[in-house]
Amino acid sequence: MTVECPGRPRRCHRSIGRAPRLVPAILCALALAFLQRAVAQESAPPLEYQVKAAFLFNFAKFVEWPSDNPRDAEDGFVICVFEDETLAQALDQAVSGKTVEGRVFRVRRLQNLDDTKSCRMLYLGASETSRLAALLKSVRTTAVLTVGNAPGFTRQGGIINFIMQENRVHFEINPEAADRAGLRISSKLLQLATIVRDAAKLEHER
Amino acid sequence: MTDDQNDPTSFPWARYLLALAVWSLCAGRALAQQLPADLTQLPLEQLMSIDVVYGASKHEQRVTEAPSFVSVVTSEDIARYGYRTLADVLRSVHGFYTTYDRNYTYLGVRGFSRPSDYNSRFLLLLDGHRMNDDFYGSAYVGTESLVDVDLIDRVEIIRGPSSSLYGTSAFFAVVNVVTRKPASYPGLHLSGGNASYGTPSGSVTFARAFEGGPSVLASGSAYGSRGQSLFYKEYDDPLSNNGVFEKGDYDRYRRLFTTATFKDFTFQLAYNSRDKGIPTGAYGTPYNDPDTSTLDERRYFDMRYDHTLPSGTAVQARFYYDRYYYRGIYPYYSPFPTILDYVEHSWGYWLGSDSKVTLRPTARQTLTGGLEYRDNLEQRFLWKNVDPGPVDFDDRRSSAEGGVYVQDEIAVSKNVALNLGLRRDQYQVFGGSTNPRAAIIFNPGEHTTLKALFGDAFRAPTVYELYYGSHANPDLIPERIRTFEGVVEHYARQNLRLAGSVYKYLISELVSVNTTTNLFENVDRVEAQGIELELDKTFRSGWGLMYSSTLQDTRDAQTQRLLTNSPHHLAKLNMHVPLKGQRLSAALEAQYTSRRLNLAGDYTPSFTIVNLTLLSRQIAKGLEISASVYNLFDTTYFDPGSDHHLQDMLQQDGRNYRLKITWGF
Repeated sequence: MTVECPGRPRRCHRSIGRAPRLVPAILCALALAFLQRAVAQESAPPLEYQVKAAFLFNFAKFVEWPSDNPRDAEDGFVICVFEDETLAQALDQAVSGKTVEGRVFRVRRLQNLDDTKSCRMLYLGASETSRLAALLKSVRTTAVLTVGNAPGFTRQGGIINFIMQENRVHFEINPEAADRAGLRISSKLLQLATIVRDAAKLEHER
Repeated sequence: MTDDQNDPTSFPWARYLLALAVWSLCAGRALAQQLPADLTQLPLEQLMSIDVVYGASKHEQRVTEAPSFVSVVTSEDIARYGYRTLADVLRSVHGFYTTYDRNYTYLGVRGFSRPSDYNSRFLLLLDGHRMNDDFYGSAYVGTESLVDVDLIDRVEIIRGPSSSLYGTSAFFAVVNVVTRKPASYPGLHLSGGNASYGTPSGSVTFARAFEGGPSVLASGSAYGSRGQSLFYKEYDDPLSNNGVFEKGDYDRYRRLFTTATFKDFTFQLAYNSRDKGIPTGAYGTPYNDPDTSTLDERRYFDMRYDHTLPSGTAVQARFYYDRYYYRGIYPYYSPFPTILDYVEHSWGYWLGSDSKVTLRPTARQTLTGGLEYRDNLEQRFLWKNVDPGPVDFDDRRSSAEGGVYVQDEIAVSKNVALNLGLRRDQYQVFGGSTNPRAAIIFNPGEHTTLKALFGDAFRAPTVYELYYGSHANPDLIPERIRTFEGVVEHYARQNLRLAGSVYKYLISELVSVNTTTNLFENVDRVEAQGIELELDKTFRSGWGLMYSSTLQDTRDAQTQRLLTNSPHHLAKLNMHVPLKGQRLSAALEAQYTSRRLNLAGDYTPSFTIVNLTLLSRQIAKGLEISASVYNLFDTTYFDPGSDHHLQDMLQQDGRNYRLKITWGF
């Protein structure tokens, strides 16, 4: 009759000589060579600190400082770290030799919280929670990006706070605190952050 | 013939490679990190996804709900290893292999890949949208697939039966392709490439995330491969051009993909059209006739609404409209030397809607329920024995189907969770299918996860198998598979991830052609078991290594004969090395496939393929250059042919190259 559909099954029983079996020696040799590569490393800061340091680098990139800033570019971009030597070390490694907006990064370890004038970013280790409110109040209208690591940091007026979610580092942002400091935070950061409002403001609204 | 079917393939290389895996485990020293040395190179999103306790794993199971053995391939892997198609991506993943007959690429999973079957036993999702067509049930993974790999953010491969969530096709695996969000691929990207066999390609992608929320991504691409002039000794005869098929290997496609999001809504519009010459003389077509070809087109519109209520309840609703078109041109002698063209067309138009609710009634329980409805508005098949000429057959059908499912994830105790699911599908045409799945997930320690899984899945007979194929049989019922599986995952220190699974499955009502009646019937049963192992390690210096090995045995349950095109052993190795930071990195991939039985009763020999890609980024701002060599050692290798080939096996490509340049601004 008519050709119904193509593809009439046709089986062929011709025997074809077997091709020689290919030996995956290359595969093993390469794997061996690779695995024998000795990796001797000095101890590096724990991953959590490295990740936070990388975040600080990113915050510098995605936040705008006011342009009439008396601190000129030659000072570089100073990140001050208070009471967290491990993070300061991680930060040393993360930002050394890098620049943002033409400013070279510099990491300063603060002995006390009186001398914050040169800081563009101020990182507060978790231990100082008791003095937090006082400190944050003293820098609140200056162009310093305050970053913390303790619960309630942003509610007390800190601008960015690290929070841990299921072993992952996330962050909260208090946009009003940023406004007061004259800093403009890129929407890219805001999108990824949890937004927090001032505790003081909530009190006032009640 | 020899008694090859009973000869257990010897596994000397398998043992060697496994020993190597164990050795590397013991040799692992105290390496502090598993990520690149300089984390500031990573985008914010990635920083946020690093697990500081276990270290980042490219295989983290972020969004999958399936309690089974999952692999994730990211956009970073795709760029590094020079993957050109979804088939390249899936070939790199353990337990998967492909077969190419110079027309379509067929995916084999867990030792199952019958020559001439369509890719209907795994479900392909694109951003959750079902890509398997409603005519042949097939999913496309080669150049015939719809989405450009450059638009892919990640591919999640969820092994095992998932019909309890997705219904038909989720038989062996679900492959979920997630595309890039406009925010992570902003601006304009122009890409151009040239590859061996006269293969230029190009694409333009524009993406923008606007202030206030909406975002859009639009991409168009085109590809045109001249292909090779091929020699097949089976046709070495003066009447068939001495075995040389000159201009039949052409492959051309064009694609369009757009996504827009606004608040809780996501809209997608996509299209692809692909034309391939068939240069093998398949289907008894005249040899060296370049008219023998297939054209496949797919388009769809998908609209989705995702909302999370303040109580934590999540709601999702989706609506879609799809179209599929196929045209095949098959010349034939009538009689020699007169050639006439037989042309067939198939169309499928369908409309669907699904909705899903996720509740958290207690802190320990997550309950998901969903409803799906699909209306196959028209499934039409048409052929002409002589084209141009009168229509000899033109039939249209329509049908509807639906499904309802529920899944409960219960945290029984601190380290034990249960995952129970059930779905009922009902088809207007042949009735229905009920599929359960149950899994226990146990964490004996912080770094180890054990899973035990049992599940059923089904594959509904397609309109092609029921009415339109040459062996069509309207009495077909769904195929079924029952799987038992155990999975182990362990994070050793912070830099090494080990995962493995042991499985056993039984397929019943497998659709095959009954040689007596010459019809499709639910005649066969297949039983299989296997072990899958994977190890994954990233070094502080940025080197990355992944090794996997799978051993499996798949047989016809009645005759105990090994299935054709089922390799006992697959091994894969992926290594990437940053040579000069971001500016230059190299990635090497090696894949071993052991011998496979073909339809002639012979073995298609085992082989190892090695691919190498060099990737350079940031040499100039926004510039990315990728140079790849595929089949670096010019290995001669074959894939088994199918029923419609004279050849028992088809030789695959020798060493070939690709250069690709992408400019982003």
